Amino acid sequence: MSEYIWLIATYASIGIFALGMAVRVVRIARLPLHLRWELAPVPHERDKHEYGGSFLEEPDWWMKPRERSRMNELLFMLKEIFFLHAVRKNNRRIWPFSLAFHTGLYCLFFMACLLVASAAMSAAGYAAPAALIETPAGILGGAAYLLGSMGALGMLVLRGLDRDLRSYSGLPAYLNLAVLFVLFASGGFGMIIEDGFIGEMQRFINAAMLARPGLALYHAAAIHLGAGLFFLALLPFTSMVHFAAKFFTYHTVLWDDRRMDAAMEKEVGALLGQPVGWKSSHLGADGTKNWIDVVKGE
Amino acid sequence: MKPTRIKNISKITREPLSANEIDDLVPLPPPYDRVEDQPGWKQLTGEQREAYACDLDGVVALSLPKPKNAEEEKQVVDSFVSGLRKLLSKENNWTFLQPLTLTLDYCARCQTCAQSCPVYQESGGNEIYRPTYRSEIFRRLVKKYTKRGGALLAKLKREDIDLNWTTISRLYELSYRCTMCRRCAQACPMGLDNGLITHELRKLFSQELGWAPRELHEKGTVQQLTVGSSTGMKPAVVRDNISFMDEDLSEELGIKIETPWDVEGADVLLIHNAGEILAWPENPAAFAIILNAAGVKWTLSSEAPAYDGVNYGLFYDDFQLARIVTRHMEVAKKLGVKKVIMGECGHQHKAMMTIADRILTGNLNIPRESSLTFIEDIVASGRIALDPSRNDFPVTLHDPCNIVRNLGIVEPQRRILRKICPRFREMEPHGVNNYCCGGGGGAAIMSQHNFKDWRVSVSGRMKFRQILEAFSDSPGPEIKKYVCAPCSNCKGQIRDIFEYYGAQEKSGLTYGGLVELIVNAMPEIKTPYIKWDVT
Repeated sequence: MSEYIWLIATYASIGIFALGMAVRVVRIARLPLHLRWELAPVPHERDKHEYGGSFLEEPDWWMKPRERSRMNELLFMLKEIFFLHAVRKNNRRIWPFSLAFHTGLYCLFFMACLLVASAAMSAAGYAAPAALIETPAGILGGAAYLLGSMGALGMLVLRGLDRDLRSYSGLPAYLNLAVLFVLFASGGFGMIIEDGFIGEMQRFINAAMLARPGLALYHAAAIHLGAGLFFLALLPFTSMVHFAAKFFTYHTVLWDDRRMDAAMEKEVGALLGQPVGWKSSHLGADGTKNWIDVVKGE
Repeated sequence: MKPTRIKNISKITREPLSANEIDDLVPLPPPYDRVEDQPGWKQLTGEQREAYACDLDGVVALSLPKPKNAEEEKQVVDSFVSGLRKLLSKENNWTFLQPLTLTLDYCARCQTCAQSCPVYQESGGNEIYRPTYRSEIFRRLVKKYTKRGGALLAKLKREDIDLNWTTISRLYELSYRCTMCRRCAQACPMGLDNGLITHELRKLFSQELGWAPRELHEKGTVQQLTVGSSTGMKPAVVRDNISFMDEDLSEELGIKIETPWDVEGADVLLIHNAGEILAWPENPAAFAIILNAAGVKWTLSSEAPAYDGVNYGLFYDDFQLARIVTRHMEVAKKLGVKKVIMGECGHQHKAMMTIADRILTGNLNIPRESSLTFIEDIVASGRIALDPSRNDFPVTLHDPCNIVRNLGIVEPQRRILRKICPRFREMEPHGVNNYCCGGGGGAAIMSQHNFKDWRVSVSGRMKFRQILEAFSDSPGPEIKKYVCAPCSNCKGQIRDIFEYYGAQEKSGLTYGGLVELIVNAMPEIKTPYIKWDVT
């Protein structure tokens, strides 16, 4: 049985991650259409986004075509994802640590992608040249472990020492950072003490991809992979999934400046037809009257 | 300042959770830097302390009576929990459920938002004004009382908060210590919105417990829906007031001012914040002068409530908001106008132009435009003659949050000022990065007990500092300076700040709208339109 443990753990954590993420994303996506709540600057404004202007600056704006730029949105997102622009601008104290561990995570992700691609090629009978896989994977791994450990440890220490952060940090915040630190530090330790550490990761991914049992992992590699799998399974149940939520906060709230159209009007009509359960007497709602009745019946 | 812990919100104490001291506030530049020269705050009487909840920060904005007995307290707690559940239900809160859920579930507690909040910063870092303080309490209560296993998880995570009358009454007051300027949302790396949490808390109190500030509810939306205006003016009174203003100013300025009423088929229905008619009649008069001079086919409505663009529902109650905006548009539809123009009122802009966009269905969705863009079009077209030398005094511009940060209307007002005010200068920061006047979210019209002292010296402090810095090249009273604030609520707040600090006498500061500056630059107006002794 023990020879199957790593395989089972791998599939289980991938499964939990995929399912957990799907449930969270679908739950957000299925929430009803809300009232407009956009906030300037809206980056898809083609010529006005730099100073935060919007189409509402135009006289008779409803008669003019909207000039949108998806490229501006993309640039905004890239700046936010890879440089943590908002944190840099507004919270310089945590920015270096936050940037370090986020960059560590991205490097780890890209390293894993490379190793998975290599394993897939290998399973298909092609051997990828070392220069294309092993060398970049080693560089990415080194960067991930170094930056990730420094960032996670820095954030952990800051959360514990800084009064502003400490007062608002519950146990989960420390646990999440601790898991991340173990993940990165064990990887870094593995790279230092074992020559073929990245190769061992590669073998593990190959074995997992081909469902080949009997893989033995020791010391740092075992801790690293254990922490990685635990992190993966834990992720959907923590606020760390903000990378997915962020898509919605920007695209469906802060940047959602769509005007009412026929489809939306139908949707709003259905929403207004729902019963109102609020109890305040000035509303005159009784649990059966719908939104339209309550609004009209003042 | 003594730090305040989150869980202390429910601790029953004799003293306020966190007292406000003028000494703790960030000092202002001279001549306003001496604490002993400042007027100080109204002290609550023993009677007031006895009657009302006042244990948050020693400030009373809401006059919430204390409960008479344990049974009443329990009812309040039960209603609050029931309100929490409704806020998270699709039927009862489809209007904001998605943004609310995102903000509740994904905050990283990084405190990035705190750096951007003028109330928190200017208070000297008073913990209870931190944007996440109120949100974190709300978040923990939501998790504990609405999620399965919430109570147990709260204990395990060490995030447990007791829910009692003290917690609720403090949260109620606390929901009126945020001006909902949404600067925190701009700064949040996740795009989350503590201003929205304030909004939703206020809604819970109004829509479930029937608690709302008298100025916003009874004197505000209720009066507007029953009488026609939050000012209490009935249709006949509005017409009389405007007619008196037209006559008076026609005589003074030597031009004929005539305001058209209820013109069916007009191109434009202009809706003012009715507060302008009473407090700053020169603003609606300036609109009339400009629109008539430009040959616009326009009208005001004398049908309730379409002569008052105010919609305080935006700040605390979705249903009151919808009721008012629907009535506004029903009148516009009846008149058959081509578009509705927002007067110089920020929250009117936001309520009608964006929020209402997904409330108004069918033929009620009449196009709505800002007066800033509409007037700029007139100014840019050259339809009215303007002489900038008539505005040869220092002018700065306040950006109303609801028009600028929330709607992205940034440049039209600046293009006008650059054209007609040779000594125009910006505040820093400005545009969409502006600071709130301190009277946002309805605060500007709330003045019960000592709340006015709080809003001028705490929430309005950053704005006053910005204004002083914008005019730092001529700080004394000998040079008259104009703060252009194209929003009624902001003007009310700026008026109160100037009065509190004696800024007109000490610094030569006055304030007003944008259209007044335009009329002041019109050569056909014989006497100066800007009055420097406005209070």
